[in-house]
Amino acid sequence: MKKIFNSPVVTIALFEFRENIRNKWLLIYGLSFLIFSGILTYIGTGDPLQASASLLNLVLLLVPLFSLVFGSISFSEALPFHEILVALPISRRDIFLGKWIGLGTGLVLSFLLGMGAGSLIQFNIAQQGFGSYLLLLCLGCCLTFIFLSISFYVVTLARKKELIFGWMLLLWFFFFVLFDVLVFGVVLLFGDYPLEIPVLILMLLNPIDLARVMLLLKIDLAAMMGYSGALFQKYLGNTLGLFIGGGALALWTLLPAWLGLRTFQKKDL
Amino acid sequence: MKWFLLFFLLFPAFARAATIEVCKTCEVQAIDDAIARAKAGDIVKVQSGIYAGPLFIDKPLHLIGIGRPVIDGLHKEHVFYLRADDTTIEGFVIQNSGSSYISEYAGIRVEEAKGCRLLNNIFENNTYSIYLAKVDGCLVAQNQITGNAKDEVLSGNGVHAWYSSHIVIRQNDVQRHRDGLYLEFTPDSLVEENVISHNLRYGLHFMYSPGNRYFKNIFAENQTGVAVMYSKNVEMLQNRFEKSWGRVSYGLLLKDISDSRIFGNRFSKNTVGIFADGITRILFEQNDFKNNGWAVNILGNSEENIFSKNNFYENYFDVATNTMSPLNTFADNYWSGYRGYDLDRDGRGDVPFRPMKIFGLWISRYPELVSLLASPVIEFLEMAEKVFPVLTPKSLEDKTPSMKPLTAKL
Repeated sequence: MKKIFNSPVVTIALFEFRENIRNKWLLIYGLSFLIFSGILTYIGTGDPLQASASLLNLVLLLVPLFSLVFGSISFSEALPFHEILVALPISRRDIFLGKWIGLGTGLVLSFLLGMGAGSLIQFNIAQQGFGSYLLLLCLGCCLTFIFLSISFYVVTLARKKELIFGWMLLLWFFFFVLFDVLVFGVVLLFGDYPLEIPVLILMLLNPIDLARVMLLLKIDLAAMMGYSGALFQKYLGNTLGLFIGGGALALWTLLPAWLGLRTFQKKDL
Repeated sequence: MKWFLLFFLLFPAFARAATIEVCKTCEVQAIDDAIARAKAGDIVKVQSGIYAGPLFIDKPLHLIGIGRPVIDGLHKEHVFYLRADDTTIEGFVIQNSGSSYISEYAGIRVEEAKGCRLLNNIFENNTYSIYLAKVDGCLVAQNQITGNAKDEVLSGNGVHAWYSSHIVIRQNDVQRHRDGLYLEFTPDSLVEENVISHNLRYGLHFMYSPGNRYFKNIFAENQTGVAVMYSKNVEMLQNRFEKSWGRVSYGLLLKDISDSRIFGNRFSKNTVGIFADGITRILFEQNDFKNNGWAVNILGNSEENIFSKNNFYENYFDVATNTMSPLNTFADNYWSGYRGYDLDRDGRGDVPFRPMKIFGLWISRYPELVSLLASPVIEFLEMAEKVFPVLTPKSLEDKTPSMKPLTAKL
């Protein structure tokens, strides 16, 4: 046990975490969740089901955006520090993972505290629909790590540090807006063919859409979805669906992180 | 004076009516024995206990259960098979009719009779609870009807009327059948104050049954509340359609209906409040639509219908259609999504409300698009369409939207 705590990954992660919880941007991030979720829940009916529906787009907008921007800035600004760490007998894997875990934990904690203080305390836990609110929180945490991974990967790839911020905004725009426009276009273009399965696959290709569909299915909007809804419900709605969706989200977390780690290991700092 | 005359006219009938008691310690211990002994018009009083069916009634009788006697059909045929005019069956528990792929077995089957009264019975575990075939004038009231429907093939309906007329179905509680009430070729009937819930298919289903009236019923948690097909001159007043929520669920499904009135009903929490296919000259007035997926989905083959003075509260989509030139009128409705103003203070908004959302249109054409529900892109398109409509039908608008809800019912 002691060995784990003494390992460089944990040391770096803890250092990162301590550094981050004092960061004013993380404070603002958490506060914005506190304010928005508090207001949205307060003026709503107090029903967790409805609250999670209205908080959904807030989470889908803020979490990826902030994770991308904050992650990339934090990682790229730490590069000189990493050069010093690399000079010590610490592997690059430990540096990368330590940074990733520490930063992610800080972001997740900030998100959870913000949401929790804003809306969670307004609910009765026994209330029906509380499960969907918990799902929203889980999805928020998943999205944090996913977009953190993506930002790390892009930073390790980027040659010009000055452009990273632009790349991040572009990525966010792609996942949040452009992807849906593409799906929309595909459906309109090929609407004469049965598209349920392709659209389902498309949903798996965008973590933001995936999170949204998973939550909407949980809120039982599936009933509105006709035949397509039945298929979505079948693959994403029930327990099996949670596994498929969760698996896709896990893959989204691990794949960019792994790619980033690989690039980082080979990169000439 | 009039009543006196009536009394004297009817007196001989009363005088002749004998009463036969049936109980385990009486002289007559079996109901079919009593039926055999009775003359037309006699009263058969059955004390509490369990009696075996099936029972066949071939003469006008008045069967009264005292203390809720149970008639058990033992899963053979009909529990009661009635082929006589002017018969009353009241106060029984009627259970365990037969079940068959070939015959339609019922708790009470009435065939080719005039004037029956089925009152205050409890039906349990019958394939069909009440089956009226070629019956003229029957009152079905205050029964508690619970079916055993598990799938649509083997199960039957709560009250089934076929080639009948002048049927009155009042204050019954019907649940867990295939269709709660089913009227086929049954005109001029009245269905009122029933509570119809948890049926596998439709709460109320009627076809080819013109001139019927449906008042103050509650249809809740049926797959589809009411399905009305191929009928004319139908009146539906003050019913409640609730919680028909599922993939093929509708509060009220109208198919080829004309010249009817749908007035003062409340539709809440249905996937589709009203689904209308090929309806003509129907007046929808003072209905409330609340929290439905779609409040009204009216297909392009419907014309000259009027939606007036209805309240639309917080439906995901208020109105959807699949045509660019709908021929229906919307006027004086209240829309909770209306953001207009009323400068001249006449209670009507100064800018028209266009209840059709572009996404509602797309989604009915391309159901896969449902995956983009609540996507910011859709919200943006919605906003653009509102400012500059090109894709939704221009004629589908309420020129005089009400600023306030029209009734304070909800």
